[in-house]
Amino acid sequence: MTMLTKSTPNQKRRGLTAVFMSAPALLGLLLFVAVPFLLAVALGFTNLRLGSPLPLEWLGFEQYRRIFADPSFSRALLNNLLFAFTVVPLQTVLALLLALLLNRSLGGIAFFRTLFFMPVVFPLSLVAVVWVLIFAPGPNGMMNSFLELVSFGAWTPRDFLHDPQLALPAIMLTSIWQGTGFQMVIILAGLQAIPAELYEAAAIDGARRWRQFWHVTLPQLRNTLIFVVLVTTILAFRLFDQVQIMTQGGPHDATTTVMFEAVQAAFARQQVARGAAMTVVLFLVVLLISWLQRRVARQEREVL
Amino acid sequence: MATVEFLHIHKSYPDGTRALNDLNLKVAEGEMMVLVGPSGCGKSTSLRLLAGLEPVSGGELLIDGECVNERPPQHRDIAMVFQNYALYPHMTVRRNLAFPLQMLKMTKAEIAKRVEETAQLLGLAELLERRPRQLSGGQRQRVAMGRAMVRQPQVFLMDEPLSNLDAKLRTQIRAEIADLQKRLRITTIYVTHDQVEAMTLGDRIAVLNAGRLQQVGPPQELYEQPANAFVAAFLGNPGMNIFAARLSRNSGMLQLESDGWRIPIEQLLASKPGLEEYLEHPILVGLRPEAFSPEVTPAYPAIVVSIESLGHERLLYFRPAATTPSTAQKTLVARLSCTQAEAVGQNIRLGFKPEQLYFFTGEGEVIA
Repeated sequence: MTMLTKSTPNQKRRGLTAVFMSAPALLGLLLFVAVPFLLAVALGFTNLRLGSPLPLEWLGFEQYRRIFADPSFSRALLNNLLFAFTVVPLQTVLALLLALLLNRSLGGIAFFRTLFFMPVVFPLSLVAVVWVLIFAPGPNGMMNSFLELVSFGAWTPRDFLHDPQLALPAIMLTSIWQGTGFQMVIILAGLQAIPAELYEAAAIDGARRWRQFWHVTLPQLRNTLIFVVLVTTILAFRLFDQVQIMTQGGPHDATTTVMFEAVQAAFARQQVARGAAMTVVLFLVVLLISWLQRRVARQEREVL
Repeated sequence: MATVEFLHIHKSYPDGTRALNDLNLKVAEGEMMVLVGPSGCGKSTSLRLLAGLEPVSGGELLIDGECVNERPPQHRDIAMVFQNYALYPHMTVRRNLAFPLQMLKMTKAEIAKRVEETAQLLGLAELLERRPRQLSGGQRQRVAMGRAMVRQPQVFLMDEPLSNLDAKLRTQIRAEIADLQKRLRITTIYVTHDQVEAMTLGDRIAVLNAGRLQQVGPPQELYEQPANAFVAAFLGNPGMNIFAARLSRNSGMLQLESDGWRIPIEQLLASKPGLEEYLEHPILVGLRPEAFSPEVTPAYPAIVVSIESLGHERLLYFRPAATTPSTAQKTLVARLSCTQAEAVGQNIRLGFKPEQLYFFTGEGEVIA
């Protein structure tokens, strides 16, 4: 009992110290994450429009009905899904291959690792501008002349970024080029955490290279891959910079995305409420995907 | 079952370290050969070379008379038990055991049969559906043994397989390994730094130090006739006392002068005529801790430095009493029964039979 009464004021003081110490971070989180998020949810149910003379009205779920009735928004959602289903697997496999290549002790390997990681360090906007130049229309555009070269002249020059069929793949290519390095570094770290004895044991047990990859590397990399896929999927749904700089969502909504639509609504057309509602939809989609992937991952979590 | 032979094996690393220097060792069919030595002596390296995990820098590795230098580990028909077991963490015990068989592309029925047999033999039947992290240290060790045995390889390699277990379990599994090896009669090379394991397990022991083979032979032979001071000091628990001394004549009789003690050894000349050559030379003298006894005469004065009581016996650390005591004087150890009780700092007398002395040259080679 004496212990308890003695320790109570002490604990209280400790609790106060904890609150005091974490206050700046908590304040930041509250101000920049929690409040804007709640505001977005609340605003999403209204018809708020900047500079509009009309009085503020409560729309409720009517807002969401309107959004989903908008063909541009549906197209944006579809584009995001297409983008995610193409870019995430391609980028992950590519990153895994690169990581396997770079996970060896050769002279100058650090140089190659740096080289492949470099696109990640470049600002996305800069990358997009460079790729706009690469995709330049006409026979003198870099991509066009490259394709002409490798197809022995069979390729007819196209205007990638204004071609409804090619605009989205062009953005995908840019994104893969830019994002692979990031995944590669994480997978590389995962590869290096695999104990060498497992490979030695597998070799002695008769497993050749390919079997070692299949029975040791992949299972040991499982959690890393789950993390990488999760993060890349979320990033895929947040796709914006490349679209904004390279195509402005065009041609004919061929490359529009949810994020792009939201920004257009809020800042080009002043429909703040509509933009906010779109971000809420985006949030729910990302939440759903994360939840699904966590569920898949959990079954095998005990592996660790 | 096969013979294993190391022929003039050298191993050096790019940074210049020489791990093995001209290792020559032949392991007979079905034999349990224990490689023992302090850490960094090259014992694990020899195992890794034989397994094909590292290339040799020179010499030939023979398994069953065939040179396997260029063969990858997959084609050497060996199995290995690793120090930390290296079980596949994402596989159940059953799949861990089945893995080497799957790699041999055996039929499912054959794999199931072999896994069952091995599990029975090692008492793993109840654990087959568990994952390695759900097992205790001893159980993991058994699974690792099982994974090595299931394939019925030509040669078993064991790299300190008991060092991650607690002392009691170590003794128990040590006995199990010895028993299994006797029954299966698979050629086994067992690496350890623990001389007790070496003495109890090996048909023969190979003692290594600094990349060189010191001596090979049955445990008792190594214990009784060490080839040099290193082997003498390494084997035994505690190892042999080694101290500097000099041979001289005192009124015509051969005697040994060490710090403080003058030991008449004239009667040893008959069995060790070589000693005479080292008259007035600095030599090394060895005495097993168990050679000392307070009852034997002649006895020599000593001062107790410390005492470790082990219940059934005591280890008495002492310094020979010298006329001019110096700090350079070596502390020796005697293994005594628990009947008497000395105190630290006390003056005592300890005796031993001169026949129990071992003589080595200044460089540590035994004097015959």
